[in-house]
Amino acid sequence: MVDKPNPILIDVPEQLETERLLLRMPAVGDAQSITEGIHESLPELQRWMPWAGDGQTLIETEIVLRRAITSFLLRESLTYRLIRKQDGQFVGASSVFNFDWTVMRCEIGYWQRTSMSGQGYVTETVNALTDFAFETLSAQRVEIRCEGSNRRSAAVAERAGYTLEARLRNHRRNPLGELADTLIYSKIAQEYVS
Amino acid sequence: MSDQPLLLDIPDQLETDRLLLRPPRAGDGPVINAAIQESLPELRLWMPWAYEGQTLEQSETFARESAAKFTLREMLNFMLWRRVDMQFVGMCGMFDFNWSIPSCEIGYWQRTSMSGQGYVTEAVNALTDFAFETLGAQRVQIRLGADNHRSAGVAERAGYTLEGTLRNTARNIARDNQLEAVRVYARIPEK
Repeated sequence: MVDKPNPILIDVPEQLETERLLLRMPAVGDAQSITEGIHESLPELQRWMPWAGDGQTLIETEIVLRRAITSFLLRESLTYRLIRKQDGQFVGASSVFNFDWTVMRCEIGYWQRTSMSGQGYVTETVNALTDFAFETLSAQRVEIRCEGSNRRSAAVAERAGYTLEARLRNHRRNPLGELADTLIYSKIAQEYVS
Repeated sequence: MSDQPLLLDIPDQLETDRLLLRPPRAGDGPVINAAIQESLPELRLWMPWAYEGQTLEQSETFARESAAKFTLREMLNFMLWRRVDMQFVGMCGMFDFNWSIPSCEIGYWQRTSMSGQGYVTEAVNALTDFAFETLGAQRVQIRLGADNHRSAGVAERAGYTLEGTLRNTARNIARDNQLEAVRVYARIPEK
């Protein structure tokens, strides 16, 4: 019988570094830059992210932020803000979540400011969080899911070396209320190369 | 589609060619338990809940909880009875409802002594049609362990399409907690 590990005891770094980015656990007071990033990117976020709604006020962002901090501490979901090293600009956010610690498996999600897209930042982040999942969290499986027609998101998964395993038809309703498919990409421990 | 599933009219029994399907209720524990005991060697290979066996109390609890969940539309479990002699054949249930789609998943098990006669496929067909026609479902899913070939046969004969195999998704307690892939099958309404 496998002992159920207690994730709260796992040491998770509050900051990770890539070539061009700092990945930082959210902190109280981060709301300003995040709110601006969301508003600037609202049309794109609204199309793909159920949480984008009509945009967020500063207060709403601060609430989400504080929940993200507690989720991080509880190891329920690990959200990192992406900061460009060269000028401290907020780039976007990426999370490791949907944990099944008995396997162990998890999912990676991401969004970025529209103005920062096309520069490979999200792929760089996904690569770093994939390494983190396999090496620090001892993952056997990491998943990326996106809506069937979300080409940009699928392209990130593909560039990060994930395999398309399934297209689940009529699996979700997108923010427009339409029936849509869910793509499931994954990387497994047996194929992971650091 | 209604987002008040509690108000959905769901028949308390369904009929197929050879079977009667009805939700479990108080008093069904012994019948269910007898079938589980008889089929334990096979059931425990694939069903984590059967791995350590099941007591009469657990089966009766399951029957009563199923009755409650049926009313709440949280889980629709159906006992399968062979009409000709009212022999209990197995269970087929609908769960994991997402009413915004609507979608759900179907699961099943049968008595080892009743297998190979197409009863479970008949039940899965009936519940799938029921999901599409009465619940307005846009997707019905079946998930099973990648090595569970008998179960895969049911899904395929019931017209489900294999959408993918999710590697390293679960651990099988009956196989030393080895990593296992999970196959996802689904049917969507015909256009």
